[in-house]
Parts: sequence; C-alpha cells; structure tokens
Amino acid sequence: MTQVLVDGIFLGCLFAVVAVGLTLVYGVMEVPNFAHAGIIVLAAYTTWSVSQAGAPFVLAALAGIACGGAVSVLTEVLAYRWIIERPAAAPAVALGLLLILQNVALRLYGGAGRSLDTPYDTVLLRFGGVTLPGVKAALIVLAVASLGALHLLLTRTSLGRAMRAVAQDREAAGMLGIPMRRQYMLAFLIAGLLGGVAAIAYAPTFQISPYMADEVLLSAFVVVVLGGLGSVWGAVTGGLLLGIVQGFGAAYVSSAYQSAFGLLVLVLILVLRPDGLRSTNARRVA
Amino acid sequence: MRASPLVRHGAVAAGLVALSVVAYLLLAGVQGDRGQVVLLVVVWTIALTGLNLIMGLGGYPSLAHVAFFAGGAYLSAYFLERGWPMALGAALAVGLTMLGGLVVALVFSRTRGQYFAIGTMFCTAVVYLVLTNATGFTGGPNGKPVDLGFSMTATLVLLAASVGLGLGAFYVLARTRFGDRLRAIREDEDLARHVGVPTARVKLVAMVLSSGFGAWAGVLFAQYNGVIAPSQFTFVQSFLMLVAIGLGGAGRLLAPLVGSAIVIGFTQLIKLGPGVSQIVLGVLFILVTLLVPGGVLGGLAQLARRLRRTPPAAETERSTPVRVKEAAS
Repeated sequence: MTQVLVDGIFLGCLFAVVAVGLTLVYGVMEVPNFAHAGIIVLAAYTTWSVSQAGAPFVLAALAGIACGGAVSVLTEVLAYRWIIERPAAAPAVALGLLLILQNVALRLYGGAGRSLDTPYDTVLLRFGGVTLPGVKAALIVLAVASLGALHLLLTRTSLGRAMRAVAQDREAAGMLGIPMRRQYMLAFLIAGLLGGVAAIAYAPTFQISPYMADEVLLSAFVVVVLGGLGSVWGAVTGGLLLGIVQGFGAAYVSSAYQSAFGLLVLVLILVLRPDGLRSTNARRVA
Repeated sequence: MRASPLVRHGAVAAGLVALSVVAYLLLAGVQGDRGQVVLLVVVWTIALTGLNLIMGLGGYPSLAHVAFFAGGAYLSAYFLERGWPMALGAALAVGLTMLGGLVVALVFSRTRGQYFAIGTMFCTAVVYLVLTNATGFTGGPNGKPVDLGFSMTATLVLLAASVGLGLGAFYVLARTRFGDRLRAIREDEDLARHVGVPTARVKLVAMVLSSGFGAWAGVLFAQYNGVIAPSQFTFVQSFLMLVAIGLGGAGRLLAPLVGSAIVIGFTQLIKLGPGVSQIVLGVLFILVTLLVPGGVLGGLAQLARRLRRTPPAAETERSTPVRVKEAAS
C-alpha cells in the first residue's frame, strides 16, 4: 500500500516536471507544445552519448539539460514565433515539430533502446517496508529542486513577474513595455530545461528510445487539463494526483493499461466538471 | 461567368465517377510495392474524407481517426473469425465503431481546440494499448491474419467505388446546412453559438460521420491486406493523417486524395532512409501551415485566381465569409 503510494508519487513528480513545462509555454504563448516529447528524447540521447564518451555523469546530465533548453528555444525561434497571430495553427505546428525531433533522434541514434547508467543505479533506499531505488529517489529530489527554483524565479524576480504579467494579459503587458519576445524565449528556455531534467531523471528507469516520452507527454497533458492550462501549481498538484491514480491503477487493476487510467481521469473531469477546464484568465502562471 | 449549378454538380459527379474508374484500373493493374502504395492512397482517401469533415470543415483536429480505422479493421476481422457473413460483419464493424465514435464525441465534442486535440490523441493511445495487450481478441503486438470475406474482385470494386461515393457524400454534405454550420464553427465558434448554431451537436454528428468513414476504410484495408497489426494504427499514423489533410488543403473536396498521395508517396515511394522522409514531411507541413494555410489545393486555387487577374473579392466564393445567418436558421 505505502509502496504503491511512493511509486505513485514518483510518477507524479515526473508528470509535474513535464506538465509545468507545458503549462508555462501555454500560459505565455497559448501553444499546446506536443514537441516537448521530442525535446525530452533529444536531451536523453545527448546525456547518453556524452556519458558514453567517457564524461562523468554530472557533466553528461548538464549537457542533456542544456540541450533540452537549446532545442526548446530553437523551436520557438524557428516555428512558434511565426504563429503568434494564428493560434489555430498551433497544434499542427507542434505536431510537425514533434515529428521532426523524434525522427532526428531516430536518424542519429537508431531505433534500438539504450539504457542510461547512473552512479546511483545500485543504491536502494529502505524505509520500513518501503523500498525506493536510487534513480527514483533522484527523480523526486530533482523534481522538487527544479520546481522550487522555478517558484522562486516566478515570485521573487522581476523576470518572473514580467512572465506572470504576460500570462495574465499579453496585450496589456506589451503596452506596459515588457519585451514580449524575450518572455516567449524565456518560457521556452525554462520549459526546455525542465524537459532536460525530466529526461535525465527518468531515462535511467526506462529505456531511451525516440518514442520514450509519448506516454509521459499524454499523461502530462491530462495533468495540465486537470490543473487548468497555464497554472503552475495546478500542474504540480494535478501531477501528484494523476501519478497516484496511475500507480494504484497499475498495482491493483492492470499494469499494461497504466496510462489508460489517465484517459479515465480526463474523461471524468470533462464529464463532471467541464467548467473547471477553462484556463483561469488571471494567474495563469504561479 | 459562372456555370449553372446543375452543370457544376454534374461535372463534379462525372469527375468522381472517372476517379473511381481510374482507382479501379490502378488497383487491378499495378502489382508489388507500387500496388501497395496505390492501395494505401485509396484507403487513406476513403478514411480521410471523414477527417476532412470534422477537421477541414469544422476546424477540429481529430487525432482519434486512426483509432476508428483500427476499429473497422479489427472488428470486421473478429466477426469473420466467428464465421459470420461478411456483409453483416462489415456493417456491424462500422456500426460499432460509429457507436465508439459517438462515445468519444459525447465526451470531447464539448471541448475546444487544444483540449480536443489532447483528448482525441489520448483515445488513439488507449486503442493502441488495447490492440497490443488484449491478445485474445487482437492477436497482440504481432497482429493477426484476416479471413477473406469478400472476393478479391469485390474488394477492389468496393475500394474504387467508395472513393467516388465517399467524396461525393462529402461534396453533398459540404453544401447542406450542416456543412455551413460546421464552417461557421470553424470561423468563430462563439459567434456561431450566439446566433443559434447548436455547436456541440453539430460537432458530435461530424465526429460520428467521420468515424464511419474511418471504420469502412479499415474494413476494406483489412480485406485487401490480409494481415492487421497494431503498428499500422499508431499515434504517428493518426498524426500523418492530420498532415495529409493539412497539406492537401483542409476543407477542400480533393484534399484527402492529394494529401494521401503526398504523405504515402513520401513515406513509401521515396527511400530516404529511416526517419528522413518523416523529417521532410514535418518540415513541409510546418512550412505549408505557416506560408500557405490553404494547403496545396488552396495555394493552387489562389494562384489560378491571380493568373486570371480577377479581383479577389468576387472570387472568394464559399471559403471565407460564412453565411452565419443561414447556418443558424
């Protein structure tokens, strides 16, 4: 029971980190960033190839996170920037980018799964009857640290305040002289860095492959719907909730259908609380 | 001067009949790898005609279309295995899939753009999970053979006829009040609702109809191909269907045909090595979305207009200003 809960929290932390990246981009730019999965994949492969080259794991992880941020900013500069005026085209562009990024990974590294070794592979934490592998513990620590840092950035710095202003009302923020382009880039940079964190934290528990992030991305979108598009804390609480639901579903019903429980949650919200879906106009971020 | 409606409709009908005949000749005449390409283009055209309703006219990108396609293929195979007559099995497969489409539509037709894309994408993912895991019913990840229900000639005739009839049905639907309502939703859903278009119901009907097209294409695909496997019904496929409509020109009659030909041609005919053709498609799709929102057909129509030097206002026809008032009545 407690073991299932802990596993659920692990999943929840993963979903939260991915979902916050999605919701941040949505809040600022109103783009459903399907390409986020591709960014996670490329970050994971970068980490893998740097550590294969003999670099220490910390360096490889930093390279992966940096790659995530760089690719994410690149997608904004090359594609998303040009459709700000046409939000209806956003899902199409996002899916096109996902197709490109995943197949770049497929082209560069082939379709075979790779496993990422970490220095904490063999660590196994025990508390009472609960065991927690080192890789999962590391993910929880990384998630809490990165989301905490994001919270500080959004609430304590002028950059974060500007970002919240853009998320609340783009036109007004522009009129008040906030440099919009910089905010867009910043949102994508942060989302990409979080994607990189998600990649290095969760690649060791699964396999690295071009399609490794598809199911996580879907779950993260459910989280975003759960918490309201554009709400960071909604994403964190929604992530934990969905992680625990999927953890229990996998343990007590069927592990093959783990991500299907996400659809169940999504359908339930849509049927029971259709009004709770509309993204909150005020306080979209933070 | 514009030709009278009767002449125009007649020309379209004749064109569609000719298209069916060409499709039959190609299906019967081309063998091997190229035959497979022809089959896929034909099947996709039938399936995508449905997607063109909800996505082209209604502006709602449905990522669940491949799930309906799979529904038709797997259910018809299941009924055949049970020894049921093919006609009944096919009808049941299409009917049950449309029922599934109704359930999906009941939940998601209330949602708007982004949520709709996310929700329908999830449906495809779950159907894929079922296809790979419910081994008893689907044969698992390796798929299963399909018994021959129709004779090969009958399958070919049905495939060829369905292309023309499907496109014809789309042509008619697009000209009814239902089509106008869908266009009104695409242009401005709030306004459409405000003037009395029952938006949720219209979206629901469009979704159910489109699932029928997908299912029927799936039935025929399973019959011709002889084998079905989950790898034919992945999320990537559903996205490529979206790409095909977008490239062809969303909402235009021949978009399914042109889009399928481009997408299948890129993925099956041109051997660029693993992944590359999809990268090219992705880049192409983004460029078309950014630069030519009307797709290939829309771009060509625009070009033709410019060449004829007609003032654009006179020629915009039905594409931009939707007759919201009529749509509402």
